[in-house]
Amino acid sequence: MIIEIRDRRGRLRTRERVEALPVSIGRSQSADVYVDDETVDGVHARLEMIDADPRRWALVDLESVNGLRVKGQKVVRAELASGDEVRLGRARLRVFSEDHPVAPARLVSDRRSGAVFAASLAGVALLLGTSTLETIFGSWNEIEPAALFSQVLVQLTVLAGWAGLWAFSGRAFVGETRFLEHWAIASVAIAASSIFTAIGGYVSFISLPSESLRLTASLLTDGVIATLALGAHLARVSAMPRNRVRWTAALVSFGLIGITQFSDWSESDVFSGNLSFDGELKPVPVEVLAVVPADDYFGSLSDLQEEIDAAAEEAKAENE
Amino acid sequence: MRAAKFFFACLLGSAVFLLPQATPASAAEPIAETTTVFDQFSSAVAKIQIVGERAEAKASLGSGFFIEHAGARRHLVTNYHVISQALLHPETYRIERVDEEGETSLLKVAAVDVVNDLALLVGEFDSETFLPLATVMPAQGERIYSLGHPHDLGLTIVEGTFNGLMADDWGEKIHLTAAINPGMSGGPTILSDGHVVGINVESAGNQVGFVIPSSLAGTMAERAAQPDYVIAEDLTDEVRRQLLAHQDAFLAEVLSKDRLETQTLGPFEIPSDFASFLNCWGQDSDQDDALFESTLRSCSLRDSIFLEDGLQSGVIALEHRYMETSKLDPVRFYSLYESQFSGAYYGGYGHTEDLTEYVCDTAYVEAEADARTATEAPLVLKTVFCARRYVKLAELYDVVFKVATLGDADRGLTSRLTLSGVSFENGRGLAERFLRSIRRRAE
Repeated sequence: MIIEIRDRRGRLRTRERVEALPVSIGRSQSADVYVDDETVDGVHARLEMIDADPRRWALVDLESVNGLRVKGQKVVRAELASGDEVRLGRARLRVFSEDHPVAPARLVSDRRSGAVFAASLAGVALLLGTSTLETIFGSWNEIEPAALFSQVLVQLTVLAGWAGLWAFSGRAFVGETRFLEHWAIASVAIAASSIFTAIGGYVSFISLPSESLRLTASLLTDGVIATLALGAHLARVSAMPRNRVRWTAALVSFGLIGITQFSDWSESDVFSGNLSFDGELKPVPVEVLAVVPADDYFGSLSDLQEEIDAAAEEAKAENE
Repeated sequence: MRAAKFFFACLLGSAVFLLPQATPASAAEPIAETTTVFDQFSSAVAKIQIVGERAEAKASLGSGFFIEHAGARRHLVTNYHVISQALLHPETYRIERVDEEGETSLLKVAAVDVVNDLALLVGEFDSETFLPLATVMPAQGERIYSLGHPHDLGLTIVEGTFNGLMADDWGEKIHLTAAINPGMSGGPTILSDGHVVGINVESAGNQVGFVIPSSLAGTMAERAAQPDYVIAEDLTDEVRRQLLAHQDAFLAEVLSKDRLETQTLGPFEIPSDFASFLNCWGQDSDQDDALFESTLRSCSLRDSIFLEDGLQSGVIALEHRYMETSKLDPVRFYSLYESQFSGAYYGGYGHTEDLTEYVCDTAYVEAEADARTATEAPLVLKTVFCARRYVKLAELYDVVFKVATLGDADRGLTSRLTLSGVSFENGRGLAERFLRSIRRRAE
C-alpha cells in the first residue's frame, strides 16, 4: 500500500510504499512514516490491518495533541478504504492500494491550441467591430481615423491587462496560463454587452416599458453576461467542480450588481430635481409604434396628477 | 430669481438710455433739501430682520416703513421677498423690527400681495412718524428720495429722479434713477413732503432702480383695514390663492383658443411667439464643417414671481430645435437627435420639503389625426409630460413638456415647454395646445 502525506495547502510532502502493517506515523525519528508538521505528535497515530485483511485498514489515534479528523469530525479510530483522507493536526494523510485507478493522461494537442488561437482572434475581431460601429453610429461629427485607431489600441491594452491577470492567477493556482482563452472570453463578453445594449435600446423605444421593467431587463442581461464570462474565467484558473464554478460566478456577478443598486437606492432620498423619462429616439417607421390620440393622452394625465399629489401629501405629512 | 434679476438689470440698463436723462440739479440746494427730508422722515423707516429660531442670528435683512392709510396707523409695509422665509417656514424663522437703539420687537404678517411683492406687518410699535401714500404720480423728472438700510450700514437716503411708469409682465413698476441696494428692499420712495410714491425693490445697477407703485400697498392696506378682516393663521394658503388667481387671469387669453399662434421652422409650424408676454430669440448653427444643420427658436417670460430662494412661480419658457442632415445616415442622425431630446436636468435646486420629484408620462401621440388628409404622412410625436408639486402650496405644479417628431430619417423637431408654479389644469391645457399647434407645413 501507499501512504501519501500532504501539507494543509495540498502540496505533496511524503509518499511512501509500506510493505508491512502496522506502521507508526509521526514527527519523531523513530516513527515509521515521517510527517514534517509541527501540529503532528512525535508518534501521532498507528495504521493497522483490520481482521488481518491486507485490504482493510484502520488509523488509530495514539493520544495525540491534535487528534484525527475525518471530514472535519474528530475520531479516535478511522476505518479507511483506498483513496480516503484523514487529517493529523494540519497534515493530510491518504492511503491507496497498489491497484488504485488513476485518471487517463490528458492529450497534448496542437489542434486544440490552434482552435484557441482562432477563437481569440475571432473574439477580438468581434469586439473591435462592435466598438468601432458603436463609436461611428454614436457620433454625429466627422470621424478621425486616428481617433478610431487609438481607441482600438486602448481596448487591446485593457484586454491584455485583464486576460493577463487571469492568466497569472491560472498559473499560480492550477499551473496553466491559457492567456488566449481568457482574452477570447473577455472580448466576447464586452462585445455581447454592447450588442445587447444596442438591441435593448430599440426594443425599449418600440415597446416603451415601465421604468422598473426596463431596469430589471437591463440588470438581468448584465448579470447573465457577467456570470457566463466570470464562470468561463474561473473554470480556467481553479480546480473547482463545474457546478461550484457556476454558482460562484452567479453569486459574484449578481452580488456586485446588487451592491451598486443598493448604493443607488440609498441615495434616492437626496433631492435631484431631474426628470426620469426614457429619452430614446430611434429611426424606426412610426407604423410599429403604439400611437395614441392626443385626447386620450392628455386625459390619462389625471393619473399622473394623483400620483404626484400622493407623493406631495406624503412629504407634507413627513415634514409635520 | 437671480436670472430674472439679471435680466431685469439688462432690460432696465438698456431702457435708461432711451429715456430722457434727469438733469443734474445744482449742488447746494438739493443737499440741503435731502438733509431736511432725511431728518423729517427717517423715523418712519424700520429695519426688519429675519431671525433663525435655532441659530438665533439674522438670516436676512430688509427695510419697511410705517404707513398711514385712511387715517389708520397700524401697519408696516415691506416687500414680500423680505419676509418670505418666515412666512413659508414659521417654525424656523421669525420676523423682528430693530429700532434705533438696537432693541428688537416681534412682527407678524397681516397681509401679503405676492404678485406685487408686498407684505403688511403688524406688531407692538409706537412710531412718531407715519407716511401717507401719494395720491397722484409725480411728474417725470421730479426729485424723489429712497430710504432704507442697505447692507446693514445704517439708515441711508438716496436721492433720485422719477422717470415714469414702466409696464412689465405682471403690472406697472416705477422706474427711477437712484441706486437701491440690497437691504433697502421694502423701504419707501418718497416725495419731499413725505408722501410715498412707491416701495423699493432692488437695484438694477448703473443708478437704475425700480419701485412698486404705492397705490398697490394702499389696496393691500385697505383690505387689511376692513373691520371683518381676520389675519389667517397660515398665510401660505393666501399666497397659493393669489398665485392661482393671478395665473388664471394671466393665461386666460392663451387658453381660450384651441390652437396657439404659430410660426414656421423648417418644414413645421410651431407655436412660439403666441402671447404678448413672451420674448423670443432665434439662433442658427453656423459651423460650416458640421454634418447637420440646427435651428433654435426659444421664448421666455420676462419676469417671474418670487416665492422664496430657489422657488419662483410664473416662469414660462419654450424652445424649439429643428435639425436636418443630408450627410448623416439615419442611425447617426438619431444619435444626435436623441442626445438633444434626452436631457433630464431641470434644476437641482429645491428640497424634498418644498418639492416632489418630477414624475413623467411618456407616449407616442398623433396630435391631429382628424385634420390630416389621407395622402399626408401622419405626424407622430414622442411626448413626455413631467410634473412635480409644491409640497406646501397644494395645486401648484412645475411642468416640463417635451416632444420630438418621429418618422423622418433625416430631420426632426424637438420642442420643450417649461412652466413653473402653475395649476395642473393650466399646465396640461397649455401643453395640449402646444402639442396640437405643431404641424407639418402644407407643401
